[in-house]
Amino acid sequence: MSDHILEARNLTVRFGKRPAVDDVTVAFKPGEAVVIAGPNGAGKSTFLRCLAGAIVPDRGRVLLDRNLSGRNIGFLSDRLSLYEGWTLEEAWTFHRREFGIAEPARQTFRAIDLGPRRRVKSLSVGERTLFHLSLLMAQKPAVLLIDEVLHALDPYLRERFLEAVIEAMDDFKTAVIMVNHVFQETAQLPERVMIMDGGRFSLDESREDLERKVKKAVFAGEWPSEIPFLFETSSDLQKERYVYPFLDEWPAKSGLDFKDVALGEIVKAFIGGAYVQKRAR
Amino acid sequence: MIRINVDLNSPLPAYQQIIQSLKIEVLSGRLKNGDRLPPIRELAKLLKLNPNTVAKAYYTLESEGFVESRPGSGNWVNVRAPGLDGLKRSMLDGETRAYLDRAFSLGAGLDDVRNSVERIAAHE
Repeated sequence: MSDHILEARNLTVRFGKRPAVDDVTVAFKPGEAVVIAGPNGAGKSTFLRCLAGAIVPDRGRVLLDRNLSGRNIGFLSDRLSLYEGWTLEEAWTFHRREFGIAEPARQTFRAIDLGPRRRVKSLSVGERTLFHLSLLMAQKPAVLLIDEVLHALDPYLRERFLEAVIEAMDDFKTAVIMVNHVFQETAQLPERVMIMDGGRFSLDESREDLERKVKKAVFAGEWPSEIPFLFETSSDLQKERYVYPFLDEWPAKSGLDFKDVALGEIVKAFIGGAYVQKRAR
Repeated sequence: MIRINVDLNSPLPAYQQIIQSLKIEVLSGRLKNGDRLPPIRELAKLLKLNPNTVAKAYYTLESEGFVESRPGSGNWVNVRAPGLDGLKRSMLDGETRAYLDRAFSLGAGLDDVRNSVERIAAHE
């Protein structure tokens, strides 16, 4: 496993005949923050559930660092049901015994502002997500898998959520792997960006490299045919093209003005490009 | 209270925005030699950034000589007057370049710019 904490080897998951995850091999390092983006139905959530052990793959396997076990992996999804009829206190006590957690519950309840006598099923989706996160945090997770949960949180809970994740990254050097649709608030966390499309990863780059390699150019006349582009947005007023990978010689050669692009816009261009390719097929 | 702004939509990497903000705080006098910088964890939570991003900003400032890191006790501002003059000049040049770009795009010439600067400065 060398310096990797979690690895997927030749992972394939089929729903009926169609592969949702198609022969994926990828490895994650301790403490890294990764975002997996891509069009709807790309297989992102299925891949994450496979890493979490919630789905057994049809082929391939998930390998964990030998010093870790499943309880070092936290999986957060808004589709999980969790101790529904219990009070938070009962759920907490059970969870604590199950995972051998020493930390007192009081701290957790204060941190998330929820009364210990409330029942899990009475919580809003957002409150439940935060409660679940607090349970996972007490496990001091080595890996946190987050399947898009932010869209269910209001702005206040979103902030609490992000702060808790940032604390875990700092306290336990937790590797955070998240699947995102809503990008805005989390855009500054990831150091590695992966784009999934049709059950495979079409992009896997460090954020730094990616931000250097994607540029945007506004143009009106002819587009130089030797410059490949990812995606185009056009209106009556102007056309914009996102290029990847950018070469330093292009501005001088083409006379076009290339601009830097923020990560959220980069991801949008890749997803837009995936839809264009799909239409062409 | 120091001000650190990170614009999530800016293509300028977040760690460079932190560096820029901290340098402005030093030049404005809100951060003085020997002041302690906010702990990495607290700044990361406040700005919703990866702790590594804040660490990278502090580390870069340290390699430039603006910050002194003392293991176990945090990061401290380290600026003496000579370094400050150079910093002031390079940041002012950056601002001027950006301003001139905008002014020239209005069709103004250097004389128009000079007149405008002097007229407005005289009224302030």
